[in-house]
Amino acid sequence: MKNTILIVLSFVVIVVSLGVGPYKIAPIDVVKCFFNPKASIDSTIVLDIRLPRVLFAYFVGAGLSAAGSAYQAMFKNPLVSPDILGVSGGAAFGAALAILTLNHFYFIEIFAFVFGTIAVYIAFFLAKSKQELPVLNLVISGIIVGSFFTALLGIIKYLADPNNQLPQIVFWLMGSFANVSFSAWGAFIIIGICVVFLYLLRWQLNIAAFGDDEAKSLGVNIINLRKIIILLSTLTTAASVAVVGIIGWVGLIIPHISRLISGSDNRNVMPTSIFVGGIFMVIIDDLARSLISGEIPVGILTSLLGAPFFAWLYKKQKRL
Amino acid sequence: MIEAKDLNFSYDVDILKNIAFSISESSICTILGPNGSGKSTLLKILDKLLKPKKGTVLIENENLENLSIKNVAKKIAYLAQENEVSFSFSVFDIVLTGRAHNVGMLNQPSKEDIKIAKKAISLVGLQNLINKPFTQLSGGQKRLVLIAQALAQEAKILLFDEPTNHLDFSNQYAILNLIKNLIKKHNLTAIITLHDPNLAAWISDIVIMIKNGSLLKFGPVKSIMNAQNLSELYETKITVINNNGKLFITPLEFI
Repeated sequence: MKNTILIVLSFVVIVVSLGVGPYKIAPIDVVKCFFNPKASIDSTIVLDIRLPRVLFAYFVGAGLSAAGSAYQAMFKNPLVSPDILGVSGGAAFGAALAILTLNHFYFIEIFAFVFGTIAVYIAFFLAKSKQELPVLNLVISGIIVGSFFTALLGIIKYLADPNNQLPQIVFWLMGSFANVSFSAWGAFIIIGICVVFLYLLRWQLNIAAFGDDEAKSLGVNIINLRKIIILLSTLTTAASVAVVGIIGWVGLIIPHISRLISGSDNRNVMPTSIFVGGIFMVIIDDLARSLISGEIPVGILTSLLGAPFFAWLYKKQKRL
Repeated sequence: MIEAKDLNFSYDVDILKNIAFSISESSICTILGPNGSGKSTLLKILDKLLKPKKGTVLIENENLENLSIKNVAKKIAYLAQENEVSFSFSVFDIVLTGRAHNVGMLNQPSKEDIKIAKKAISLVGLQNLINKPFTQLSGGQKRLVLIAQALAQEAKILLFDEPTNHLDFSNQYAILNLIKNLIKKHNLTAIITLHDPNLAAWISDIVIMIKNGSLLKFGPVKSIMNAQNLSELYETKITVINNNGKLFITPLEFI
């Protein structure tokens, strides 16, 4: 029932959002664009410009929230976010490196994705011992890798041309959906597939939240489960960050909100996270392009809302 | 039914040395020994959570080594000393995870799994708390939830690592009594580690005494739970009072 409401709400929010922006279109006219094949200003704006943007915002919100839910279960800690293993740090370095050297949006996306994934692989490699993959080791190696790539990012910023490249790097780090088009189909597919698999894994997440011995004695290969969760979450986050830059807080707070709505059973938390995350991100992006005449970087908005919300949650500590 | 042959285990120092015993079906066996004697290690080896350095464990004549994680879980349920539960999962959520060995990685528990979990909850008498968060339960209730989780596994062998840990005096008996009844009623086999020889004498058919990683004594309660063996095991003078077949065990030095 809850999921049905959230699915309907998702469609409503997407349709309304397609009309939001400097050029406003009523929801009914948005719907007409889908059924009227004739090209018009409305349909160009709705189908060619805003549809990929709004859909990708939904995908990113859903993906980051699904990854966050999975990580919070796996790390047995409700304060964990999808970049705990350094994926954002790696991606930021990759994007900055591409801006400095090749400066083409295509390479920025590829470099961000590849370095985001490499960062997690290094963290995974550092944490892994012979037969174990302890979550505490993962946390520590994630911090190490994250700060190392942040240092590398610092070097790139220092070397970048302050009139041209540096602002580009800084803006990329703030995150934006402004330039998303359907040419990012690769990211759509990666996020889509990973979210489906994270959704299918949802019950296993309840077991991932137990200790190693408990999970093993219940018949679950916890090491393999952790590897799969890390792989899916990393690909989702890296694909998101590669296209739209760093967007913090979503993967941390949406799972919290979802647990407040659905309880702790990940069979319910996961679908709620996916839908609420998608809706949240689309609304945030609506605000980003309509609050002022220009665009507000979306990463600023998520932090602006996320940080106070988190403070409130931290004070309340209710049903974490 | 469970046979341990020449089990050896070590980290840097030897933890278990040449442990051998066999336990027949539908019996309750208690492992006694001082702190650090290797009781918990032995239980973990029996559930394949640790790999022995040498020796084998046979479960119904099958080598434990050759069983997959899932198949071990079908045959053996294990209750750890402490359970970390980080989210406010409900009683039902936790007990249902006992069905994990029956559910594929990308699948969800079936109606049958849900039925079995609910039955396990009523076997321990928690049906009224089925939706209550685990974190809000008392120590005794938490223990019952974990017993229900083990029962939901439908394994024939149950391993309990200090099930009376952190429980008050009467709850210790209540929990062990429940375990005893369940084992006898459903024809299961249990291996339990305990610190209190009184509880061991009361609940067990067989006792394994381990000291410094070596098997000190192994046999039926009546033949090995005597003052001499217990004094040797705990290295303190112990007396055993036999009151109409019921054993009361107490250290002499401190009373």
